Amino acid sequence: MKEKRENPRDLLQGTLDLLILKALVRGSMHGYGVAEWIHQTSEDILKVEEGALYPALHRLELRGMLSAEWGTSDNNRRAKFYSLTAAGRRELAQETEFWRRMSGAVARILQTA
Amino acid sequence: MFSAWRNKTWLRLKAICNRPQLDRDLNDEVAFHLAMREEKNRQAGLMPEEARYAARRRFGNYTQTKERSREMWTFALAENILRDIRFTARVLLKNPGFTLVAVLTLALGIGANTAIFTLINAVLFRPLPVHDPQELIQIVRVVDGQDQPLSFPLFEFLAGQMHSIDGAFARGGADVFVTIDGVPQEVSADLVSGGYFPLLGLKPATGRLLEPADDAVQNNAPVAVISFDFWHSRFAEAPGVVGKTFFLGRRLFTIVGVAPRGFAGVVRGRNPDLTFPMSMAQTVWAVGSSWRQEDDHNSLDMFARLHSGMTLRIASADLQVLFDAFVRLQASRAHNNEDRHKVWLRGPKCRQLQREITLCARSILRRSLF
Repeated sequence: MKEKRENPRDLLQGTLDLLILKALVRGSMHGYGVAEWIHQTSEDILKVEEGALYPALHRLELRGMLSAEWGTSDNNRRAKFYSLTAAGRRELAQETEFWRRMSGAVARILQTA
Repeated sequence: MFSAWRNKTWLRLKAICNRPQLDRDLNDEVAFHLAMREEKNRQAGLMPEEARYAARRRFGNYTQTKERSREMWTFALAENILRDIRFTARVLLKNPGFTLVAVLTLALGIGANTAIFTLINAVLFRPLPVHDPQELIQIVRVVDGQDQPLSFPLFEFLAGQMHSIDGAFARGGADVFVTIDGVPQEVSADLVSGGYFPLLGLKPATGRLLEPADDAVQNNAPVAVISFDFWHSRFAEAPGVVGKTFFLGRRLFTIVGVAPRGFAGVVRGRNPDLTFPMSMAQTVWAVGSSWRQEDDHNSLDMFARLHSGMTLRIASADLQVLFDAFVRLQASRAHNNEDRHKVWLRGPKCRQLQREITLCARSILRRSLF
């Protein structure tokens, strides 16, 4: 189910989804872990508002891109762990391809000036 | 596509069915995040108080996050439902064969159930709108496996002698021409003995019903009761119908009352418009006065109400003994007719009226279904 990209907010939303999917490629993680991974990997350039992360996680779960399970964190707290489903992996591949072409196109445009 | 929809619906249903659990989970998830962030801030050297506020600031609008998530998890938005309906419609349109089969299956299923329920409701659940219908039995003669009506002498004999019953009545049918307000019309009629209405335990819709006294006075009680349906269709339920007169042949009859709504006689599928006392048989049937003595004038259906505590089996045994006695009695009266009696007086049978109707309905159902 490919969702339409109609306004900038959708674009941002799509970006966040992509980051989340990417974060979970190497195994299951809780929301805080996903936020930390994004901060560290982007070297704090992408300032994700951490609260916005959770609706995005839940939306992906509802769409069947993620599966979730309650478990215990390293410091013995009850936490919800997300992991990629097969559909999530497919979505990630598609979105990655989309972003490659997108950023490539933007980069080419910027170089021509 | 479908599995995604199913997954979503299933997760949402779970969330809806357990709202408190959903709220707890959302709270726990956010609280866990804040605690982790606070911990990290403290390790980075912030004061505990400052660490907590920094975590909150970084998280953003705490309440809004939970609201958005909660909304997502439930069907709170009509939009969601609409989207699901649209999706369903698309899938159905994509598979017209499947859709056709599904719609036909549902239509046939609903139609068949409605038809069967209508039938069952009519014959099983409301078989006889009378007082304690399960106590009513019908008594018939069985000739060559066929149920046959009785003669008046046999009815009178059995009604007077059977100990297992609280009372009995006889009923015969006729289609007659009557003239109401100068307009002749054909109506269906029942002739009933005096015990008919009292034994059925019915109350009139208006006026009165026939009483034993109407049947006692031979040829001198030209009265009739009309059915509720006839009152409705012919008289528009006018209360003035009581006392109204009509002609049957050359005799003037008076309508004394209306039978209760929903009562359509004791013979299924008949619904007599008029009910006359049996004392009027000569006029209604146009027969000679001797019909009451003729034991081969078999035109009556006999019904009885079982004495409380009596079973059909006891009544049957009672009936068999009396029937044999009746045959002997008749034979002794008419020596030369002994052979004739053997032909038309065969084993009697009593059967429970409601059960008969139920069995009859079952056979109709079986025939129409298979």
